[in-house]
Amino acid sequence: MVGALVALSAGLAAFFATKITTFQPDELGYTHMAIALAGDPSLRTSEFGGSERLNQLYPLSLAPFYGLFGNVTAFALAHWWNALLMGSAVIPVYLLAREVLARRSTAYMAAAVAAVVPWLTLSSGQLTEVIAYPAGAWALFAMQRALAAPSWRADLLAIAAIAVATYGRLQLGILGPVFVAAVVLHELGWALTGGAVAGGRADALRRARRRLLRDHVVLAGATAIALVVTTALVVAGGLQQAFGYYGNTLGGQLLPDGMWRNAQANLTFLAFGLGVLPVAWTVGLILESAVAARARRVHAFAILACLTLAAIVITVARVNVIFNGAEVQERYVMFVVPVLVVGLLAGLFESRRPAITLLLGAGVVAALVATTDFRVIPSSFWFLVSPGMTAYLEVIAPRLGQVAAALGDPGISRFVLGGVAIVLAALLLAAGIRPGARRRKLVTSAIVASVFLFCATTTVYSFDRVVHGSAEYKGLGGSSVAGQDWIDRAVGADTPVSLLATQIGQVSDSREVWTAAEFWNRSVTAAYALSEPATTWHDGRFTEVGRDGRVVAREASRYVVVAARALSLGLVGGELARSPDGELRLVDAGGRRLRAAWTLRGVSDAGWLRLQRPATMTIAGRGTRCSIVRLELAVPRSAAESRSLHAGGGGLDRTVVVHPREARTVRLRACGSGTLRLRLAASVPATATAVGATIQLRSVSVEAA
Amino acid sequence: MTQRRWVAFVVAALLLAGCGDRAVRGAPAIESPVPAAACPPASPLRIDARVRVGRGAGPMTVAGDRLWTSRPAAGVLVSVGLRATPRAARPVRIGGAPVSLAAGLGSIYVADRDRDRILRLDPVTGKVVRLAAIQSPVKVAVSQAALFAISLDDGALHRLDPLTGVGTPLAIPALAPIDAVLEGGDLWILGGGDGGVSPFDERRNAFVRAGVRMPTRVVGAIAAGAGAVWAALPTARAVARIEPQTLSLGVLRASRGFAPTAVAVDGCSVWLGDSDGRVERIDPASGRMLGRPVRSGTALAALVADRGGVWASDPSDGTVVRVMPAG
Repeated sequence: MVGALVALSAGLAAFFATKITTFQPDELGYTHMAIALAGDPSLRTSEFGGSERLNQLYPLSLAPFYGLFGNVTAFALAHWWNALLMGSAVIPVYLLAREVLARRSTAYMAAAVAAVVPWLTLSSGQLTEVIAYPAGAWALFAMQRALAAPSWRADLLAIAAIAVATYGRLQLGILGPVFVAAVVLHELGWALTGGAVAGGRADALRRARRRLLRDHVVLAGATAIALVVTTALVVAGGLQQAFGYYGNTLGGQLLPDGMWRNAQANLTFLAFGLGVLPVAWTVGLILESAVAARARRVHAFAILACLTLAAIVITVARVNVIFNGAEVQERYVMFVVPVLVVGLLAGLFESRRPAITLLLGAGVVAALVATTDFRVIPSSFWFLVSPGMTAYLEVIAPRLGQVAAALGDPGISRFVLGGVAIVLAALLLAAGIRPGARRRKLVTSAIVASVFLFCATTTVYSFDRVVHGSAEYKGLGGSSVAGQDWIDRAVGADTPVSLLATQIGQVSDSREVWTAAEFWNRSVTAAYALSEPATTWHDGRFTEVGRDGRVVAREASRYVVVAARALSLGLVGGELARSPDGELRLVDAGGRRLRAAWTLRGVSDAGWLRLQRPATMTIAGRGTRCSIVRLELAVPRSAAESRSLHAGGGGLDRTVVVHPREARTVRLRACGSGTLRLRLAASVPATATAVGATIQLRSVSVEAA
Repeated sequence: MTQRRWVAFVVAALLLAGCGDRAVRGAPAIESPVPAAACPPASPLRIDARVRVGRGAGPMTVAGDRLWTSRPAAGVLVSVGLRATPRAARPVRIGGAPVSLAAGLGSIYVADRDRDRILRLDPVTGKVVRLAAIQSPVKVAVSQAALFAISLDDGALHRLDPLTGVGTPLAIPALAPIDAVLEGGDLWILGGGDGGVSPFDERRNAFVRAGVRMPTRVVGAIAAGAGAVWAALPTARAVARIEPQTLSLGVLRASRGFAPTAVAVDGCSVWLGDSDGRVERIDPASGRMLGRPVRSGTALAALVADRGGVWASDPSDGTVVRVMPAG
């Protein structure tokens, strides 16, 4: 049964994830690390920023693909692998459920829900979360086991599982302190509540102390060692360095402004992603267990759920606020999903009064939801990293808007209406499962089935948006990966190639073009930037073209990639290949120092001519000759007026009028002896409203006449 | 379920709905136009003042008792005192191409497009300091807490500290951003390449809502006022009104033969200007014409609303002209 659910989950993920044809910025780092680990097998690489990143389990798992195949094939295989990894989380969720729930059938229900959670969308990206999610679920299972049935072996297994999860994703190191705190709170809490029934409180506390010191001796020892090491690192000032790239998350304000709002939004969207009920019942179970848990294993789970939920959501919110512009990306908090899924079943089947538990939890969740205030513009990216939030914003919120309109006030917050809807639904469900209610079992089963269906629907919808996009935004699976490794194919994957990067369009567009070359072609090993900001993934060392036409790039390789529509220079050398979209060209500079055949100065990086100062074009050469200069010119489409360009020098004296809404290509014949110098001056009517938008040079090319 | 339970159920829901409603009302509402009773009736327009500032006058902003304008082609700023008879002060030469001005937080901010910089001018001392380096800045706007600058070259919005100029760029979801105005807590940015207007949420510091595409490709300028964002649509001979909260779009017609390329708004009027130097005004709520157009000069580059009237810059004869409702 569990195997079938793993297959269902992995199959669902694979159906969509294998259609992905593009990548996220973070994938550049992890795939390059995978290539490095494949070349030099070890548990850790220091290349491509690896020395700063301790969490290398995912790139290590990709290393065989990137070691045996080229980037395009490895990319495809990695997405199959991702689907399998994400689907495999069903196993630890089932085992966790078995530890908590009395009946096997209910554990199957938990596994079924876990098989279709919306965060399967993460398998669309080569990101550390893909392996950290199942690793985290295994750690939670091991922790629950050690809590409910303590032994030194169980502690050891839990510590090992946490270590592996941390190797998968550093943030999961927080499970270490959570485990220690959960053991202490569970033992003491159980002694003071449920465990005190037999021999009184004093006796229960004595037994708890004995279990802490005897059965958790390994954990106690590990905790002592961790404290000593941490203290030593703090004293030596090396704690932040020890955490590498993420070390600065240990600094900054302890409780920054906006942290609680961010935590609240994270929890709200997790709740919406799961159909609210799992969060409501988990919270209710935690509240109930604080007073009177039904069984030791349930008490242990409630403590574990409470601490895991709080620790992950709060630490993520803090880091989000300090370092990520307060964005809400569920991919950072989805590690609590196994706990929430099992919490649903535990709340339904293991609590003393499921109806009361639901109402307690729903009250808390409704209040959280109603006071949330967060939104983004839905896109494929957001569906990938935050399916709960994006599905809410794209599907649920507009429906709530219709309700608001029907109520006569379209301005009512969708979150408030969501909170009201949660309360109403909880009241209805509570009535259906209260003790003595007719067909209680049927209602209970229907609840689990509806959560399953909700999650499955959200997952399929989110995946569809990730892959295919919508009328408003592009999907990540719409294009083709064929030929993307055009540089590797042209010169071989082991031949070093440098990028000589100029800005192509706006900065965000330029970044897409250049990083694609770096992502798909491992031969690209260095980058030089001729425009600011640099839009390459490799550290773009800023360089310039000297007056003599030489490009200052001493360590550049023989093979150089330049923009096909480069505006600032035309490089001397033969063209070997072009990118599939035609934006980039690979040039063989012949092993000599890089030299420009022509240069253009006085235009902005994106090709905008200045208002006052003309641009200067210099065409190198000897003797008397003529050159043909082709300029593609454009004026903003929304402009009301035309602009004009005057070209002078090299025997030229020509004025070209460029109308809005028509990109115009002009062919100029310039003649002279020696180096030719042309002046290109834009003029904008004095009455122009967008006076700053002059004429944009879209492309420049020069050839002999 | 018993009747008593149903009653409890409904009461709880109503209570929650009531609480929620109050929470929503905390959000800033659309500012209604000034009630019709407070606005002067429709009347002919007249030229109230004409001040020579030099050829090529274009962008303008009003700061207290002074009107500031720039001559982008000459790299010059000129201020006009508004207290008694409007008079131009000595020009301030800053070089470059000052294509946008914004007044706020006690300063005049200038986008110098050709020298890739944002300048801050002290309107009292006339001292100019370089505040930030930004590639091809084409627009500056000042809110109560922040300075915004738009880089045409990068396609980026820079939110800057008004005192230090420190800030980080954010990609604008529009092609060739060329204009921006503040309204309802958002900075509305016009994409010159796609004719879309995208709202940037100042409080959340992010683009959290999709933009609005204008009904025609040609957009002369955008302006804010009377609780809405307005876009001059010369080819449609109309002005578009965008409701900030709902993003719904309405279109108000200009008078026959009038192709608005500039727009300015105050509580009572939407002022429209065309490139032939004519100015007219319409009612922001009804779209009714409030008097016949008046010719302010031979050409018109920009409009700025001020004290019940509007200033128009005429780059051809180098003047700024104040147009007021007669009476």
